[in-house]
Amino acid sequence: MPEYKIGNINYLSEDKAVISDENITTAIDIYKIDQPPQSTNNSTSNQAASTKVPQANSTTTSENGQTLTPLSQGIKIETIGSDGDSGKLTIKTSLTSNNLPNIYFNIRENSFDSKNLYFRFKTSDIASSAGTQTDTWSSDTNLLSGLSLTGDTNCLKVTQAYGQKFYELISTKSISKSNFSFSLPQTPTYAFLVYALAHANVKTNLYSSSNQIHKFQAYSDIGVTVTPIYNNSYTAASGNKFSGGPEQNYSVFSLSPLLSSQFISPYQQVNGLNTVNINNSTFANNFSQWKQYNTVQSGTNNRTNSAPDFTSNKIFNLCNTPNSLSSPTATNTPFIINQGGSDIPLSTFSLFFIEMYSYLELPAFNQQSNDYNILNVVTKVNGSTSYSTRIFIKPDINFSNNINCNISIGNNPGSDGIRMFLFDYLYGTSRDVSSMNQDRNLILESLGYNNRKVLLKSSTDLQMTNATSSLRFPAYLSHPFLNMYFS
Amino acid sequence: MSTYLTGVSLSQVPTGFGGYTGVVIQNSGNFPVQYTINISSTTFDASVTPTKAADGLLYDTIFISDSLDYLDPNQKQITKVINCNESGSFYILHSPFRTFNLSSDRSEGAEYAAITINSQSNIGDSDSDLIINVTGNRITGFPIPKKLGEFYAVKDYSNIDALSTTKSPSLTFYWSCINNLDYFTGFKLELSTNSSFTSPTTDYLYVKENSDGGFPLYGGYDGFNNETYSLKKTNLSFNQDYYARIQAVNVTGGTGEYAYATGYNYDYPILDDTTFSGNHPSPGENLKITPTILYLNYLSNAETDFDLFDYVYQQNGNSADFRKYSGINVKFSPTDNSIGNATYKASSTSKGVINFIPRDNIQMAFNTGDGGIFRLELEFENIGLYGYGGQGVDVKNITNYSEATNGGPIFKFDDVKYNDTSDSSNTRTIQYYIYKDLDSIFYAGIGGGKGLLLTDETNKGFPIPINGTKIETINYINLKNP
Repeated sequence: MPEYKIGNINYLSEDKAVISDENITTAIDIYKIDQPPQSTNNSTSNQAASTKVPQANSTTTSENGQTLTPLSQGIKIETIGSDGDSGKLTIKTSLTSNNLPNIYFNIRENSFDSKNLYFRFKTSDIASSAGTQTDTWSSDTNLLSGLSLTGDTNCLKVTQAYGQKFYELISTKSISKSNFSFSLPQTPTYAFLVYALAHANVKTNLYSSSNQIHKFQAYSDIGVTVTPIYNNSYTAASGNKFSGGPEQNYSVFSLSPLLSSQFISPYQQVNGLNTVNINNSTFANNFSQWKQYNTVQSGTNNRTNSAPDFTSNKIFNLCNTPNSLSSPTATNTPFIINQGGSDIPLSTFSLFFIEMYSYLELPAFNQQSNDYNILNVVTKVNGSTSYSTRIFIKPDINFSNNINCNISIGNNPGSDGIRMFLFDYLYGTSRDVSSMNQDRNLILESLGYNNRKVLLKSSTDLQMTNATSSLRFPAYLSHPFLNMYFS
Repeated sequence: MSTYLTGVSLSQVPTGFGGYTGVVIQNSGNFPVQYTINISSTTFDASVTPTKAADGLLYDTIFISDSLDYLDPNQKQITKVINCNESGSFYILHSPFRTFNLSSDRSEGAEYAAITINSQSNIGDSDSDLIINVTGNRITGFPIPKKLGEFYAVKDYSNIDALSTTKSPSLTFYWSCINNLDYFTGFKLELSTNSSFTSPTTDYLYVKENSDGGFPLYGGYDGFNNETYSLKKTNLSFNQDYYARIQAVNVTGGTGEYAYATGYNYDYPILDDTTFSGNHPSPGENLKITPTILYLNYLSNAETDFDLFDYVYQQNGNSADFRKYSGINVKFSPTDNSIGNATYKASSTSKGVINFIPRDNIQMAFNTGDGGIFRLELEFENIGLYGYGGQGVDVKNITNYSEATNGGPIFKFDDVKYNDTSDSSNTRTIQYYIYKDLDSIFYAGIGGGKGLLLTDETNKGFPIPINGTKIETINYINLKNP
């Protein structure tokens, strides 16, 4: 049974379809959704619901935004029949009535032990009423008393939605902590940030004005002016690294020095460690070779640090999830927030569970750089790997214990009406990679549970059917954390 | 022997009950001493004479004993050896004369006995005898009983099973007498469906009379201390408010102060001080009996067409009578967590991955909790649920083909409604609650795809039919959505 990889959209953790060999005598391509228009040369799919093929002898035709060209002169392809529907949530076979049963849905309760956390900022314990403003987000005092993120006066506003409270970070403001010091552990570390980007209108691109969500800065390179690492939009542009800088429209979220057991400054990230001889202009090329052959190149470009893998992230707009049995076919039900006055509808509300972790490993013995440890840095967005990289670092590198941390909406604050909401922010460490993976999973499950009201847009168990109607959860309208697809 | 007490007047004791006092002998000398304690026969004042006694018989009513629990009425002597600087004790027991010839002969009065204590040192010397003149006071009135304590109720679901003729819950009440000199002959327990105790159901429980002539008619010489009583109230209703209170009752029907009940869900509870002392304030605790949730854990790495009804049926002792439950909670998780998600599938589009369809030939009954519903809660941890895919279009030619079929469901649930014959005014309904963790995956069966027909217009060859795909497992990408 062949497996086909579909797209590169990070739509879910595993984008694949498994198709039987049975009844298939001709090579079948899988139509890629959310991709540029396809031609029939690679998209004669009998899976797509509305893909059409051109008639014989036609030159081109346009269907559903796609430009279709014939496979060859004289070949006519006709679709026969129509697609079947996916399975309904329930089938009534009642012994005593002809009604649907009432079915409710929620997320299973989960929790984790916070003893390994260094800090934890959360909003589930907000006591203030909606609309209250503050300038400080304090960490759980049981973990590290006194650590707090602070910004301008009234930069945080208590927001309530579906019975859950969280903060809006005013779009022109930021919250930060300067020069907080702690002993960086040598064991694997992880951090989670849960936040939402929103807009009053339907917005398909949230990143152009929100590309510096999570910023860390430290000064391990004495005397070197470093630019901070921005965690939401940064890309390794080819060619001259210094002209690249943070770029828009990429949603990368990682490489926090907070996550590394040995601090890597932006300068080092871009140029390699100060002991590494690197040719800046060919950095990207060498990276690709390193990736291709899984070995470092000889010569002056030896031992280059790899650039990150970049994967675009999809906006999962919770506004598209119907929350009403009376209008189960609604395609855009606003996300309703309250900040002390009247309800505020938001047509875009995209919730992100950002998971960042890093760990050290020894290089393979046959690699030339076996004098170096490898720092693995991974970021996952909503359960999908969005970014991963491996960095060579010397075991005895100097690192800084003084970190500057900053959370803000981006490098173009206040523009375009993008709003940002904060839910959870935590950082912890585990004794080894295996236990870290278990810890991360538990934490993610717990964060999902803690934010279930926002995910489901319901303060109670979400009603999915009543006696006569079924609330649909179609695939493209669901947050991937729900992992449930039926109509 | 120094004498501190040569006469004792016992407390007033109603006829039919008993009383006692203890006597301590302290040996302050330098050698062990043997004490010989003798008691005389009982004498009476003029209130008791042979003519006033049944069959003209008088008998002893004041005794000596080493124990409050055992008495030999014929024992006239107790011998004790007490070491120097140690002490010993015995009891003086009094059970007033009660066998009068006529009811009109019944009277109050005094009853007398003399106790002589002889002491003999082990080196031979002896002291003069100590004589204690004992006066027992017989009364004809019956004091108001005192408040009872340790009053609690245990909620009992044990009779509620399919094999029992009793399909309703019970409350078993327990209480104790916690005061000395408390003279009662029974208890009055009131059970009310409201906290005001208007129109309660009332039960009387009477204290059993002693058959041992050496003992009082009711209780022991120390009254009813440490006696625990119980009464079971059956055929009660679920989800009904219940309050209970109890009084002790004396011979003439007089009742004492109320004690109010505390409720427990289990036997042998550890009582708090308030309950122990009978001081739970009015109206006491609501003893409402709520049906419980049946908790089940189902471990499996793979299932096909999982029959949830059959599973809970078996777990309930091959019974579909769930009337002692207001819900069922089933946690699904893999047997082996290292495999990642367990895989649950359906074998056809007519089957659900999880099926709850009661059988025609099995009567299903259940109780309801708050909101009048039976909750069937399904919790999924690391479970993948995959509906069965529909058949693609089967193409013969341009006009001859079979349409694609729809995919199968994940959940196939019956809309179960049930009229309880004992509660016909209410239709009981099952509601389904589905809880998943983030790792669990719910994929409906995908609908079958379109077919294709390829025709070579140039060579006019035979058309090539391509059937629509049959999806054996899941392709969420092509779910047909609004």
